[in-house]
Amino acid sequence: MTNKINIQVKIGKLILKNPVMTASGTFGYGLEFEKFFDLGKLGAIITKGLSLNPVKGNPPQRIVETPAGMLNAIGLQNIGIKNFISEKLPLLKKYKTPIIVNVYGRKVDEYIEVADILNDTDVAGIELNISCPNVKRGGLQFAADKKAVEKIINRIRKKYKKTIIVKLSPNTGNIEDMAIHCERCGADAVSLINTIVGMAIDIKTKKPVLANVFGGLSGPAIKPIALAAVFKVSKKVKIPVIGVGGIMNYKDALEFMMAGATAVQIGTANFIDPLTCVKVIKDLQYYLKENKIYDINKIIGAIKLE
Amino acid sequence: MLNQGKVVFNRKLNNTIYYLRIKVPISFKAQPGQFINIKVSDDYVPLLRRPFSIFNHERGFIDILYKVVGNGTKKLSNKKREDILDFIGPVGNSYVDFFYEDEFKEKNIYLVAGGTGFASIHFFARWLLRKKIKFKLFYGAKNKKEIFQRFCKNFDVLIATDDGSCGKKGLITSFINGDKDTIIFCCGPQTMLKTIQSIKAYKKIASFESYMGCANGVCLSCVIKINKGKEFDYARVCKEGTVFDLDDVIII
Ligand SMILES: Cc1cc2nc3c(=O)[nH]c(=O)nc-3n(C[C@H](O)[C@H](O)[C@H](O)COP(=O)(O)OP(=O)(O)OC[C@H]3O[C@@H](n4cnc5c(N)ncnc54)[C@H](O)[C@@H]3O)c2cc1C
Ligand SMILES: Cc1cc2nc3c(=O)[nH]c(=O)nc-3n(C[C@H](O)[C@H](O)[C@H](O)COP(=O)(O)O)c2cc1C
Ligand code: FES
Repeated sequence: MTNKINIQVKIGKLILKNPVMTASGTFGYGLEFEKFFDLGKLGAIITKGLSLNPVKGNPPQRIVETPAGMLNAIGLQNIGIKNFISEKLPLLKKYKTPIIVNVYGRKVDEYIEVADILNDTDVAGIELNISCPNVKRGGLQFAADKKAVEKIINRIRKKYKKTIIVKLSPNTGNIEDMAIHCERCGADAVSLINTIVGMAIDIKTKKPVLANVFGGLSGPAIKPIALAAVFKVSKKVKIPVIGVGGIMNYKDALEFMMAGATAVQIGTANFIDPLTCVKVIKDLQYYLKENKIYDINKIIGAIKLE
Repeated sequence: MLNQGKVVFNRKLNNTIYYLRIKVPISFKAQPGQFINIKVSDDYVPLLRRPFSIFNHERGFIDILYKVVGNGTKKLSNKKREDILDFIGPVGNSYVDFFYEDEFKEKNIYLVAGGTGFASIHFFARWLLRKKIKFKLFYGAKNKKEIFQRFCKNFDVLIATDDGSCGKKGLITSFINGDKDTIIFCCGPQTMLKTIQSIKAYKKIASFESYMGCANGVCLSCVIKINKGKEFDYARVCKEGTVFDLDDVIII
């Protein structure tokens, strides 16, 4: 049998050779994984959240494990967009994998400035993080503020020619409404979900375990929530939905795609098995072959409802 | 980096402390101060890997000395001979990166180990021994049960326990008299490292622990504060460390 299986998917103007991307903040700037596998195999690399200027982040303790998950309050520590472009991007160019920059700003203008800077680079797209639970300003505040979101997307859309993804969370408001709103404002895709606000207390000291008190929950613990969000949103919008949250293997990825996701992002799993992304890509192909499905796009939204 | 090894033994040394030997390919090489990140379970609890210093390493095997403190170490303690362990490593820098043989020739080398910090110090002590470099080991723990004299046979060692049940009574740091010719290499609880910061010495080198997510430099969870004049920077224990110049670190 030499039937060719298509695993390409399309996100906005972007053609991905497969639907597997790395979730922001769990893959650094990509280069740390060079020692584990050929980065050229990935559908896309999404960078750690980058802001206009470098950010130091929150004081430690920054993470704690919880049942089947983890809370993090890194506080968006990053090297700043300019350092990324001069130091990291040139090293990523040799891979034939689109680089998507996850962008975070404290003010509306910051998102726009970063997008302007990226317009002149080889970066394939941007993912706007308007839903980070770990920073006092920006983040969550925007996730609930439709006007601010409209401003951010509209103004970026005017100049920015490449793919715009907006990352949403179920922490505030109604995620379906916000997704519809993003589509209307001109986003090419939405990715969901970002981490969910949580906390942990040390009963010996009576203190919160995380210095930031709150953290974002990720990992298998949030998968059912993410899946429901993807399912609900993909019925409401025409733009592609990217599924994120607790994906550990190809079966999880399939669930997201059946629920309506065009592509998936893998986060926390990269910490446990650095090869997760490549394994999922391989296993998806194997699954398609076994089931004689010759185009992965046939899986998208394939959920059967009575 | 991605490795698998068979458990050779996983011996219980006392109520809570275990001595684990993993068979590794002879091509595996590690330096004192480095650690490995072990997958202790195949399900989602615990989810993350657990980091452990390399206690000893010779051609074909690595040893770990660990204390059961929670679910992850409990699961590790259940591993049996012939079980396959999946681990990432060696990770991090080494004490050796801070060891300048010529510069240190006329100096007194002190190694200071507190609790399970003994693990990485022990590996370094063996490295020095092999190189025939003289040193003195200061080894402290809560009580006799947590002191492993059997691993100190060839070392010039001073032991102290909180309750005096083994060696001297008191904090190990109170028995160290440093001067401008002293070089300290240490690993242990942060309170111990903080005390060592105020001991006089030519140089102080410390290996740090912290809460780790990835042990691969990407999650930025393991950071400690590094002095930078009036400012500070965060450094990743898993990447820039675990070994740092102790004077550079801000311990809160
Ligand atoms: C680089 C490095 C080297 C290490 N080397 C050794 C070693 O050689 N031998 C050894 O016994 N242990 C070592 N540790 C600590 C060991 O990793 C933890 O004890 C282990 O991860 C705890 O897992 P658990 O699931 O059993 O405990 P958990 O259920 O995760 O936690 C139980 C208790 O231990 C505390 N704890 C957990 N992890 C840490 C940590 N990293 N630092 C401080 N407190 C912690 C928690 O706050 C909690 O109170 C090392 C840690 C690091 C970062
Ligand atoms: C340590 C850590 C850091 C993260 N940093 C970012 C970030 O900078 N920007 C962002 O949009 N999402 C960030 N996330 C969220 C992830 O991209 C992802 O949405 C979330 O973890 C859920 O997926 P998972 O369960 O597969 O990890 C971070 C997650 C973790 C665990
Ligand atoms: S543990 Fe993830 S950066 Fe150090």
